[in-house]
Amino acid sequence: MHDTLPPRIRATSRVKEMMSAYYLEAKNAAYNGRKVAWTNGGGLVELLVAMDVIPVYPENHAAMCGAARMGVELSEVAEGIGYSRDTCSYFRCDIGSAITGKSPIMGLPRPDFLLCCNNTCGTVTKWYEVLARFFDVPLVFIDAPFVHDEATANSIQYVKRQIDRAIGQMESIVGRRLDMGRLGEVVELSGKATRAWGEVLASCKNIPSPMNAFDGFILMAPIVTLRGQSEVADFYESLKEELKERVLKGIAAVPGEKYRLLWDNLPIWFRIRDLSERFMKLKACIVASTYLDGWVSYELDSANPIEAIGRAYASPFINESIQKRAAMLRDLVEAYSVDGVIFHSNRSCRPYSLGQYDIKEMLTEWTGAPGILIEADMNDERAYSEGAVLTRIEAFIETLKPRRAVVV
Amino acid sequence: MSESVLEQFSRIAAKPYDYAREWKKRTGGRVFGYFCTYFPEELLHAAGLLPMRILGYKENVSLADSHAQPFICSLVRTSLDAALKDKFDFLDGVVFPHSCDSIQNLADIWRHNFPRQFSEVVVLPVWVDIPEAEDYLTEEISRFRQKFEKHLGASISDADIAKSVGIYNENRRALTELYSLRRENPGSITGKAVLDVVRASMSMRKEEHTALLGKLLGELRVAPKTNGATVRVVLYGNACDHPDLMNLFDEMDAVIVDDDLCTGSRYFLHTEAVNGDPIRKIAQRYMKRVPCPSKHTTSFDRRRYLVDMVKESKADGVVMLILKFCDPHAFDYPDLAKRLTESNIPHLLLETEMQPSSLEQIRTRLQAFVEMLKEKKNV
Repeated sequence: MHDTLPPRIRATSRVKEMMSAYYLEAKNAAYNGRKVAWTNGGGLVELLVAMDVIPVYPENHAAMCGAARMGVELSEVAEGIGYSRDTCSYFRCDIGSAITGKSPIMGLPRPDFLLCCNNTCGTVTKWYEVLARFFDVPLVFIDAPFVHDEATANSIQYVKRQIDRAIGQMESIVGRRLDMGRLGEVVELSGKATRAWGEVLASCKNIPSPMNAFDGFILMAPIVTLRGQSEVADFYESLKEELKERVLKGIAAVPGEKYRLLWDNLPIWFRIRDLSERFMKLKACIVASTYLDGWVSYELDSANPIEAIGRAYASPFINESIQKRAAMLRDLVEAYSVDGVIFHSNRSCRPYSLGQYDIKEMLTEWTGAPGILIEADMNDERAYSEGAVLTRIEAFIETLKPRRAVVV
Repeated sequence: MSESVLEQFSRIAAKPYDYAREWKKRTGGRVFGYFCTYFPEELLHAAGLLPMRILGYKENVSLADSHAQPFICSLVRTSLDAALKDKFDFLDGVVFPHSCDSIQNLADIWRHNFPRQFSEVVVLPVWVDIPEAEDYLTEEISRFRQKFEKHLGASISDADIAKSVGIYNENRRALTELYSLRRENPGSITGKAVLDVVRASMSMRKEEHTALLGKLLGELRVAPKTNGATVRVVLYGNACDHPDLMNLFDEMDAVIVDDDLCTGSRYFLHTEAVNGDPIRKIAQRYMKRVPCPSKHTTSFDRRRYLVDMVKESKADGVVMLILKFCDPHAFDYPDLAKRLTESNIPHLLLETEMQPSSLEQIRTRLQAFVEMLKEKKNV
C-alpha cells in the first residue's frame, strides 16, 4: 500500500500572506504615525483595535521563533542575563529577540505601551513587568481572578471596573477617546470570527477529519492576532467552505485515518512538521486540541461591549479549574469521537501542565478514553528527548482501540 | 532542666506538625492548614481554630510523582506528597489563597484527591494596589466567611474577627520589634533563631506565640552589645525552612541583619488599625503589606525596597534564597540582581528545595561569598 499525502489546505498560504501583511503594517507603525501595543494571548485586543492601536503578540512571535528552530539560541540570550531556564520558553525567546533583534521577521516593532491580562497565567504578569522595565513604557494591566467554581458576580465586576480603568489609561497614552460605537463593531467582528473559527474546528467532527491539529496550529494565527478585524471572519468563513468541500470529496487530513486523538496543551513548535508526518504514518489524526479551542469560547455581543469582553476575558478555559478543563476535554472526546488523549506536559508552561495527571484520570473514568503524558516543551528543544517521546506515542497508539469502523 | 524560650521556638519550628497534633490533643480544637501567607488566617483564628501553615515536607517525593511533574516547585510537590502519605492526618480542613499558578492548580488537585476534606480557595486579587481590588477582596473574603460558617455550623461575629485581628496585630508588632532589636544588635540572636520564631508563629495560636515571644524580647532588650566587626547579611527570597543552612552563617561568623523573605518579614510587616468593618480591614492589610513577587503593583519597586533595606541595616551583602521552579521570583531575579550590582551591593543566589539535600555545595559557595565580604569590609 502506498501512502499519498493529502492535498494541502489552500487557506494555509492565505495565512502566510495575512501574517506577512500584518507584521509589515506593525513594523511600519511608527512611520505611519500609529501606535503599537504588545499584548498577550488573553489580552483584550478589541480595546486596542477600537483605538486604532496595532496589537503585537510576543507569544505568536515566540511560536514563530520556535517553529523556525531559533528557540534555543534566543533562550540562551535571556539565560545569559540571568533568566532561569525554568522560566517560560516563550518569554525567554521574546526577551532574547528584544535584545538581539533576531527572529524570522527580524524582531518585533518597539511597543508604545503594553496591555496584559493574567487570564492565561501568572507568568504573563511577570513577563509584562519585565517588558515594562525593559522598554520603559506604560503597562496597562487587567487582573482576572482564577475561576475555581463559577465566575462570581464580584469577580466579573472587578474585571469590568479594571477595563474602565484601562480605557482611561490608554486614552491618555494614545491621546484619543475610545469610541464606544466603534468598540461595539469590533466586538461584533471578534465574536463573528471566534464563531467562524469554532465552526472550522467543528468540521473535524467528520470521520475522517478534513483537517488535523497540526493544520490548526498554523491556521489559528489570524484568530489570535487579528480578531476584531473584518477580514478574519471572512477568512474563516472561506476556510469553513474549503473544509466542507474536502468532506464532500472525502479528503482526509490523515489518509486512512484509523485513530482519532486529542492534544492537550501547546504544540511542540520546533517539531511540528516531524510530528505531523509521524502521526500521519501511524494513521492517527489529531482531531481536536484544547489549545485551538481556547479561542472559540468567547461569546461576544456588541450591544454592551464592556460587559461582553468583561465576561469573556474573565473566564477563558485556561483561567478555570482543572475540574472544568477535564469537563472540556470530556466534551471534546465525545463530540469528536476521540480514541485517546495526548497530554503534552510542557515544562515551561506550568499552569497548563500541573493537573494533567488528575485530568487524565478523571477523563478515563468519565469517558473510557485513555491518555498519556509526554514530556516536552513548546519552544526549548533542550527539554525534549525525541526518541523517548516517539516511543511512548507509538506504544500508546498501538494500545488504542478505534471506536468505529475504519474508513479506507 | 526546663526548655529555654529559643529551644521551644526551635522545637516547634522544626516539627510544626507535631505541635499541631499536640495542640489538638491539649485543646480538643480543630486545625486548618493554609498555604502561603496571603491567606486571611484571622478568620480561622476568630473561629477558634489553629491555622497551620503547610510549608512542604522534608522527605523525598514518591506518591506525588503521579500528580505533579518534577518541574513543579518542591513546596507544592512535598506538601501534596505528605498529604497523600497521610502525614497530615491532623488537618480538619485545608484552605488556599490564590498565590501563584502552581498553588492555584494544587488547590484543584487537592480537592480532587481529598474530596471529603473541607477545602476552599480565597481568590485573592493579583493586582494589589488599586481600590477596585480592595473592594473585590473584601467581597471575596466575605464569600469565604459565609462558606466557612456554613461548614462550621456557626457564625463568626464581627467582634470576634476584630478581636482576632487585634491579636494578630499584637503578634506582628512583637515580631517587628524582634527585627528591629536584631538590626541594632545582630550578634545577640542568630539568624536561625529569628527564622525559628517566625516559622513558629505560622504554626502556633497567636496568643501563645506572642506570650513566648514577649519573654524573648525581654531578654533581647537588655542583651549586651556585641562588636560590629562581623559581616552583615540581608536575606531575600521566598520560603526558607532550612535550619542547617541558617547555621552556616554562624559557622562562618556572618550575622543576618534583616530579611525580605516569605518565611520572614513579609509575613508580618504592616498592621492595619481595627476600626470599622473588620473584613475590609483584613483586606486592606493584605493589600498594603510588602507584596510577594506573585503580586502585581503599580507603585512598589522591589529593587528600591531591597537596596533601602541593605542601606538601613548597614548590610554588607545579600543572600538570595530562591526555591527552584518559583516563577514569580525567577522573573524578578535578574533586574533585582542588576540593581544590587549597580548599587555596589554584593549578592549571591542560592537555589533551594524543600526536601533535604546536601549542604556541601551551598557551604562552598556561601563560604566564598562571606570571605569576599570580609575582605571587602576590611580593605
